[in-house]
Amino acid sequence: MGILDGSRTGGGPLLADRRRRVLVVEDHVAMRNALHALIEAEPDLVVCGEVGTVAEALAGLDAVPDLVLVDLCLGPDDGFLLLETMRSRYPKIPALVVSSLDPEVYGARVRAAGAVDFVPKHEAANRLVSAIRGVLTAGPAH
Amino acid sequence: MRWPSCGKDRDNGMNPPGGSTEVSTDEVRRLHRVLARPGFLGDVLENLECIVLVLDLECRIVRFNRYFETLSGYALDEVRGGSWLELFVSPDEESRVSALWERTLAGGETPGAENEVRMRDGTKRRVHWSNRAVEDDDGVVGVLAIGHDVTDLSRANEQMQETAARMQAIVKTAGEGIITIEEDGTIRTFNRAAEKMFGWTADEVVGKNVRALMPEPYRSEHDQYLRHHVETGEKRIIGIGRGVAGQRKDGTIFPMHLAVSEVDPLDSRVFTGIVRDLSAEKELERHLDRVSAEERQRLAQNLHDELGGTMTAISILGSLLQRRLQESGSPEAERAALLVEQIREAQEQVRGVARGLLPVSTDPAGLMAALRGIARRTNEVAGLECSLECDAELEVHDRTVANHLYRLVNEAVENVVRHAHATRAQIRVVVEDGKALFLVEDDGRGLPEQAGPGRAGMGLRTMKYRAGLLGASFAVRSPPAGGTVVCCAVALERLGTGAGA
Repeated sequence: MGILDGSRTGGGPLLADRRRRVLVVEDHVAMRNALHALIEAEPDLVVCGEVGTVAEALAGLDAVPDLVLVDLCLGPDDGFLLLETMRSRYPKIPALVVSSLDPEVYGARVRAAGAVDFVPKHEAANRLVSAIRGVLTAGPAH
Repeated sequence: MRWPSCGKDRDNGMNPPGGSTEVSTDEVRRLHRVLARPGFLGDVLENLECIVLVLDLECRIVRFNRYFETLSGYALDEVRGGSWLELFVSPDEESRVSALWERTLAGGETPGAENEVRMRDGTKRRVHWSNRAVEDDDGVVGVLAIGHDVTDLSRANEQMQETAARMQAIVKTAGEGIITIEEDGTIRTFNRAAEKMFGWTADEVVGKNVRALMPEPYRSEHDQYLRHHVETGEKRIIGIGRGVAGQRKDGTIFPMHLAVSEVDPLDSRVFTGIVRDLSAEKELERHLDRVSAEERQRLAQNLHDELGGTMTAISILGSLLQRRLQESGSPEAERAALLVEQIREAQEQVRGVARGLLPVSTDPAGLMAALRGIARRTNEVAGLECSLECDAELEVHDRTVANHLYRLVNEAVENVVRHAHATRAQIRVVVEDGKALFLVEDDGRGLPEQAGPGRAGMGLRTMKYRAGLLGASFAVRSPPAGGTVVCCAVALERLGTGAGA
């Protein structure tokens, strides 16, 4: 599987598959592809779905991923709405926020809304994978 | 022919004074002799530069002098015995002149009597009369009238009145408010535009102190300004003109341009103020600022979200590529590392441009976070101890306002770093009396005597301009204890509410 070919082969819940499943909620297409590549470059992680809106994300949650990557700015949608819905309806699924918004302004609020961690987007290349592992170890914040 | 002598007083002052001859010198005695010479006074009256007219009891012409002959175009012989009223007075003034005549005959005074006198060629001259009954021992025998031709004078007077009326009309209908005050501040005139602008009628404010037209702190300080000018002659606003704040009758404060000129008429010192309401201009300026701010925000948002997202994606993919190449032992790994480094730099540049365009995050809490950022950066980069102190987490919903406030505080802090020679600076946000106060205080060397055209002065002007756009008050001062305090006070309602901001 190439890192730049955007293949979506890892999504199926194979019985033998021990990889942890990540749902990516991001409306910026290039960014979504990059996150996909970044996650699937890890042998123990797999992207189980990629969506760009809150409604699609909520539908994707029924498949019970191990973790949801949430962008805060989803076009007209608001990532906080997703975080709060997740907290009430899927309290067991942990959320990790990847956002270009100022962590100084939003960091605490994102955590208050139920996210386990906040990774500034421009640091995603270096920090995201370790943050995902951290969240998977810690479990949901609720 | 001899001129009659007037009144009962025989001694008309022309006779040598009897009794008190001790002061008479030889020359004076000779002078009296000349005066007493028959025909002497007649000659004088004949050649006097005024009308000398004698009428009998029937108001018929007995005599007039050569001056009047020249003026009227009649020789005395032509009209002697003729009726004065018929010959020289216009029918519409006849009754008034007759009344004066009766009064004169009765021995009354007729001061300031004036009427038109018809000349031979039909023209009319306006004549100012001084009349007196002529009497002998048995009673009144006629009237002596001395007249001055005031035609030119009254024409000039009319012209002056016309000019004054025109000037008044100009002042009255001018689009600018025109207010004159005396040197103690008492309002003397207040034109219609000023009435409209301030909501006061002239009757209400004339006689009051001009303080009533301005808000605090100018209201309390104005007497001092005036006194300072009157005593020192120093001109702070006179002849310059500048933007100030006015206060309407209903208490609202509005921006206005005030140009003051000093008039120094003979009676007392008067200041004339010409004021123009700048509310509409300021509103437009604010609107334009908002439009351009929104444009900047859109651009920043786009850079941040779209280009920023793409750059991050490229950076992520680049890192992955580099890692792969490294793992496979490719010699290209080094080049890929360089590529990734350059992508990161470009990413930082985009973030920097976006931050420059829109320094404050769109969230209501963004301003406080951004101010904290100023304090942190100043600490880290400028090597100046800088902290943020605030009563409460102030929420600012209006993005344009938030960005102006951020820039204002940032400029103030930059001024401290560059010019104040301070060791520490503090940003304080205080909420009181419906206002949010943004203070930047330092322990530096204080304000220079005159914040002139230097960079510090320019910075102050920019801050003041920003404050103006926010409708905020702005002040800079150096407390006696040292250092400098910059204060911008903005009404809380300007910060916007959650809805619609």
